[in-house]
Amino acid sequence: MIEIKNLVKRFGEVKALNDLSFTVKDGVAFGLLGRNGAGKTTCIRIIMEIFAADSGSVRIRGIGENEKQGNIRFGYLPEERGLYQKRKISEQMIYIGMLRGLSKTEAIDRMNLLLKELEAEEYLNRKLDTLSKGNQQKIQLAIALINDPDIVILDEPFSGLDPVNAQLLKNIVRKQADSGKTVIFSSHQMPQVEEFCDDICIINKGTAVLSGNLDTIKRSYPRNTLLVETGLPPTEDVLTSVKSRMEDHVSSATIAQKCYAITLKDDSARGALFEVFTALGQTPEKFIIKEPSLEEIFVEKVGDPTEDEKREEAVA
Amino acid sequence: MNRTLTIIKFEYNGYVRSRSWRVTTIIFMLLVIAASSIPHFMALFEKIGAGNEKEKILVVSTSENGTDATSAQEMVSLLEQVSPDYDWYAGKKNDDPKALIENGDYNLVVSYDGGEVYTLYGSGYDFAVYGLQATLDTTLTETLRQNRMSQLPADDQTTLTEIMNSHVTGTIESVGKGGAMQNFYLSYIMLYLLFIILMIYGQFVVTSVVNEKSTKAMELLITSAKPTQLMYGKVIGIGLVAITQFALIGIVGIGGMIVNFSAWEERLPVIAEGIKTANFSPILIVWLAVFFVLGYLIYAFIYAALGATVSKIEDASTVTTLPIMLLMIVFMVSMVAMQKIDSMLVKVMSYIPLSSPFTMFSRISMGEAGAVEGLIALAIEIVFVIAIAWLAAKIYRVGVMMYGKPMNLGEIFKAIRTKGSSRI
Repeated sequence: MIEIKNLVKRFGEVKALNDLSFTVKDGVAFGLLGRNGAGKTTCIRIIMEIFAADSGSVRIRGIGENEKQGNIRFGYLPEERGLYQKRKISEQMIYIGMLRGLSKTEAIDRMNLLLKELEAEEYLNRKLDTLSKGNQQKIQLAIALINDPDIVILDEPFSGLDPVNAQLLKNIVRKQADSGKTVIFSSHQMPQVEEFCDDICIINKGTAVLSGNLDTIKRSYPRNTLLVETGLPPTEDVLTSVKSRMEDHVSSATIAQKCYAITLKDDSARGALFEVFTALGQTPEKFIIKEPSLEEIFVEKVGDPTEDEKREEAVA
Repeated sequence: MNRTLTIIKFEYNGYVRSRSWRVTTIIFMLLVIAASSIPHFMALFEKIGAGNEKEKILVVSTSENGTDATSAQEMVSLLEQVSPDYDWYAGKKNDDPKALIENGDYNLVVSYDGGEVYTLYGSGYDFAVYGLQATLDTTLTETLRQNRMSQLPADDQTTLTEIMNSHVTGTIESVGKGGAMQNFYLSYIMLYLLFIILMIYGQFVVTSVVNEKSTKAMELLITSAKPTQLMYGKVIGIGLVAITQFALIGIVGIGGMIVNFSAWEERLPVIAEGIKTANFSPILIVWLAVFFVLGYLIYAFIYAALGATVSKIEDASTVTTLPIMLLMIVFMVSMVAMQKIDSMLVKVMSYIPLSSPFTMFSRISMGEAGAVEGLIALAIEIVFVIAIAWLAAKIYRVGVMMYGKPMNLGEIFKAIRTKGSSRI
């Protein structure tokens, strides 16, 4: 478990982190979300002890930043990726493995295992600069996991990956989380995160604006909009009929692509709505509650984008 | 410690296994083999160069006793037959050889009193002096023997044997520059070598640091090892690469000299003699090693710290200007000062850490400074290395995570003082 409490970090006049707090549980995939320059990387770098916070605390598995964390193994994929362009992949992986406390044989074993899992065994003896960007990314991920870390921190892991490799990455992150490890990753690609992360924290201007379990968050939003699909193309006539028949219960009704989106004044009218559609000869094939997408939640929570960009420039 | 060792190994292998390093080393080894074969080339060039302007040699007979002497004119006509490659002239008894050479009237002057020793005067760096010596030895020996025999009764066997064993040998007196200071050449070569190592391998250190920043490998590295471990590992690893390269070149050079030594003795006897009599004592080699290592560490730490303050390879040259200028000044002044090794300037420089690896070693090897002075310079040097390593580690630690435009000195020190600060 990682507990972040009241982190503050300034770079000159800019407050990169402003009283940031959140908790990451073991065994879940935790998404740290925010616009560019929101403070994700700064927060991660403080966790990785690349620099210290001005105030606040980070406790990892109950151990504070000034105490010895000798037994905790970290795996880190930095946002600024890069390695030795002219050295062999195997040489670099073993090197980082050994720097992170593995023996040479352990490093070789882990390397072989990870490259197999990432379908990248053929690159073992290649030099890094001979690989495509996506494949270099895979190697970076393998290096992040080389020491079988307890805490896995991935900064923007999806950037630069094609859908197949993104899926490969998701599987690996999922596997890490399922085996009880603490997995944090930062991203601004909501669909990727939504698909497989358990908990999230949305950061805006250095402060957590929303954090917790993603399902719980979604459920906390109103559940009174229904999407109805009848198998036939939606028409204005049907919509008007539904509205007039349920005048007391419907607050709004629109056509959204292939379906009708009906927002009810109260949840109890769901059954009546179904019956109205059936009576009109439009028996619903799909009749579902519309949940907000992570993207919608994100946009709702995150403020003026131009201000963020200004902050990003000042911090960079 | 384990991590530092891993870093040292990785850095070392990175260079030693690279093609460019191997090619450079082989080229240098070939050059050294060529240099050790200089006497053979000289023989070749003499053949090719025959017909060019001949060297002018004056022969002066200083004999007091007419009966046992060969007059200058007789010697000249004999030598013209034996060595037609030179222009021979007969001189007067009281000609001043040194003045004649310094005035440029003659390239060489042979002064012979008809006995068993002659003197060959020449400018210290005139190779012709050494090539000629063997010819003179043989010719004059033969002349002496014949002269002595012609004066004997036919049955005087004892004297005949004595005469047959008589031998003329020359001593060479160098005129002008190039005195016979002990180990002058050795010190000279070592200064050059140290300078070259610091120039080449200092650049390696800077490039290596900047490269890790420009390829963005640094963030991964500093979360895997401490910045100080990274810096020390790099500096030591690259230092070992330097030692490997120069050891390989040195071994080939020494081997070449051993194989070709007889040719050196024949054609360039002064240098051969200089090598034979040079004072390569074990203690001197220890001094050399210690000053080399400390000299390298001082400059390498400066290079590493400065390298950490820039993030692009293109900017590297802006920060290396300072240590390169410093190195050039120290080297130039040391070279000039060596001509006057007992001067106050050299004494002062031999205690200043940045220049003492150059000057204190020269003073010790040339017999100008004793062990006590050496140890004092060494103590100052060690304290300075520790201080500079500490400072360099601080600069490195804050510098490696800073990207953007190169930092100036003020920014660097401000960053060092602010705990945990960075511009990221």
